[in-house]
Amino acid sequence: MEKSNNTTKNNKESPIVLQARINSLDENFLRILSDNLDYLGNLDVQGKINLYSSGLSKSRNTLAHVGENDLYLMYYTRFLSMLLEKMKPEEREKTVKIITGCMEEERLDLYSIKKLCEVIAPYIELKEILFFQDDCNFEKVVSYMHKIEKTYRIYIIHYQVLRLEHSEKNKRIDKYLVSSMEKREQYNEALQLVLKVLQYDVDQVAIRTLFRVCRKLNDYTAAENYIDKHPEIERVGEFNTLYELVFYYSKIGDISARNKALEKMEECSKKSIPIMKTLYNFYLQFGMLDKASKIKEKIFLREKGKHLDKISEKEKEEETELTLFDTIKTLFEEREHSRKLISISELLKGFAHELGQPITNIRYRIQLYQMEMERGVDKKEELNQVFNDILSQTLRIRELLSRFSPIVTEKEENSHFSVQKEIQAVFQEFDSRLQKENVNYSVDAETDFILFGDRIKFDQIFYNLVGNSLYAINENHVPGEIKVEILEKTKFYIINFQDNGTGIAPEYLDKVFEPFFTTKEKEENGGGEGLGLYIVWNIVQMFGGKIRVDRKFKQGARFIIELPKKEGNEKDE
Amino acid sequence: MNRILIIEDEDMTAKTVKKALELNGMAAEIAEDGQRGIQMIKEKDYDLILLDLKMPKVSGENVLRVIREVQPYVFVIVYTNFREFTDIKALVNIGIDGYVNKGADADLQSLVDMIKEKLQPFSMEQAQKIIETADIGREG
Repeated sequence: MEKSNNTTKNNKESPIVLQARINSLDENFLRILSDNLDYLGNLDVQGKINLYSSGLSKSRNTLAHVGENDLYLMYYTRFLSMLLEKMKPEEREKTVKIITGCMEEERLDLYSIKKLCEVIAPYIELKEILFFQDDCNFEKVVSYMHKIEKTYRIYIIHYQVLRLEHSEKNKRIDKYLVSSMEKREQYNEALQLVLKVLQYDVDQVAIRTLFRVCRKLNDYTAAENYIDKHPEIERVGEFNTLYELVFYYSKIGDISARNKALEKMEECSKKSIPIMKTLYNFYLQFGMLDKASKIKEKIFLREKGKHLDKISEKEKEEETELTLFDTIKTLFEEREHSRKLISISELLKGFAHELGQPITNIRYRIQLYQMEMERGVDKKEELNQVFNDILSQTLRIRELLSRFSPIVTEKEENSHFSVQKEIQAVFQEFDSRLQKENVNYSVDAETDFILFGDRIKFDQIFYNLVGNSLYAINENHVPGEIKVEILEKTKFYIINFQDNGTGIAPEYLDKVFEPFFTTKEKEENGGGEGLGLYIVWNIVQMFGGKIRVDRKFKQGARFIIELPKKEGNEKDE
Repeated sequence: MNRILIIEDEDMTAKTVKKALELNGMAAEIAEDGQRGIQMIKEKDYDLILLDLKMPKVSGENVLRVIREVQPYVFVIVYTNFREFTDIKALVNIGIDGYVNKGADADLQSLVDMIKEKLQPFSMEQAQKIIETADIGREG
């Protein structure tokens, strides 16, 4: 079939249908118009504008429609700004009036009003805007802003001030406006203005506003650019800025910088209970339980000292001990509880997604057959195929569920086994693949130890780790190397597992053990859905141990597994 | 006859949708991944493209970008699991005409209806009625 272009295709649309689409301004049509007003072929530009503006003024319903549909709003504002640009002044005035009229009648929701104001702001004259250029009018500006607080005009002001000159001269007003924008959740505009403020004034309040707005926008690009130019801000000791820096560092995954900022905050916290409480929440959030319980103790002592001076020293001590014990207990419970909640919600999200595909197929397959039956298409011989298709989809679901069997199975066959020998055996099973893909491996033991537990589950840890390593090495295109080291410490044994594959990107370090987190493509035979390390993490937990990624290791990936020395787990003599 | 391109890596989903569209008087072709989809769009004109967002090789979003370079005004409907409007925003800015959900909400009939509606928004009678009631274009 030959290639036709869109204008000719468009001309196929009957004039009457086209006219109806202009009048109803449905969202598909708006999208086309917002890209290109010339879509209508032989009407001249002015003719089209007349058509739309009369359409617009006639149908206030168009505006009423705006708030109901997000797709529609986005295309409508894009279309409107293009239209206003091309209109004659008197038509423009008329159109703007209609829009402001609708906004005054409170028929639109806030989000729509913000978006519409952005479009019409250049075409509205508010003479008060001139006051905003000089701080000597500060009082006047504030009282004006209070007056228009509940109207659309406040948004018009927010957009218009961005086009003014900004300098030391209107510093106070600018800062006032930034907070007004933030209050109304106009973060993009607040960001633009605060960057202007920072050009003429390096000010702590503005700096932390920059970081806070970036946090709200979930995009630290602007803040990062600022840090590049002013690295000194990372050395500040002011609490509020440090507070924002903690968020920033945890977002970019710079744990050591985050902890440094927390230390500095602790220095500021000596006298202030609110700061201590903030720190306490941070420590909880980042799983730094020792620090959290220490600060909790300090808070307790301070509050006690404030309110209950008269209690005797001895009573105080007793109570402290008791509360401290309770505190630590709740701390652990809170932490465990929130960790479990997070992993459950991640699991459910992942499940919904993974199961979505076979469920879609099952539903579509049945619905297609129903559709065929309704139309009287006799397809009885197809029924067998329908059943087979559906059964094959249920097998897919079963495969997904079976990936979890290592951690959900009730059956446990516990025995004593040598850790070193067990790991060696896993490598042996991978032998032909290791040779084919040119990967060397070594299992070095400073000490071998005997573990008591389910051997098959233990093996699963290393099946998954070796599988991941082979994938990462394959991607890296270098001769592969996997190294395992077993070390003995006073209270536990350590197994280091490392490869020279592509490694883990810093931003993923905190996520690798989450269920359904993956950077791989889906594999044919199952796998690649992001369950491997989640299962590893769970099995290590079952053995009472811990697993983490070595963040300093850059030549590939390195996992550190700690297994406790306890009864049953002993050194092989 | 309207021509529809289904860009979908799930073989069974693609084939079932194709059959349903054919049953409703439309012609459909399948591209099994993003790369192949881009190739087919460059070779031929389609009236509507049904696009899966989660695919290997080239992501649905990148396919959408190429579609908009080659064919700014072709209808594009995406499959999505996103419920949040902010996630859809990026797609809207590139240009989509609708989205449908997979999973337990998946409904073949409503997908077919949606496609029909995009391709033929009004019947002649409906169009006539809209013009009469709105009474547009006689002034201004």
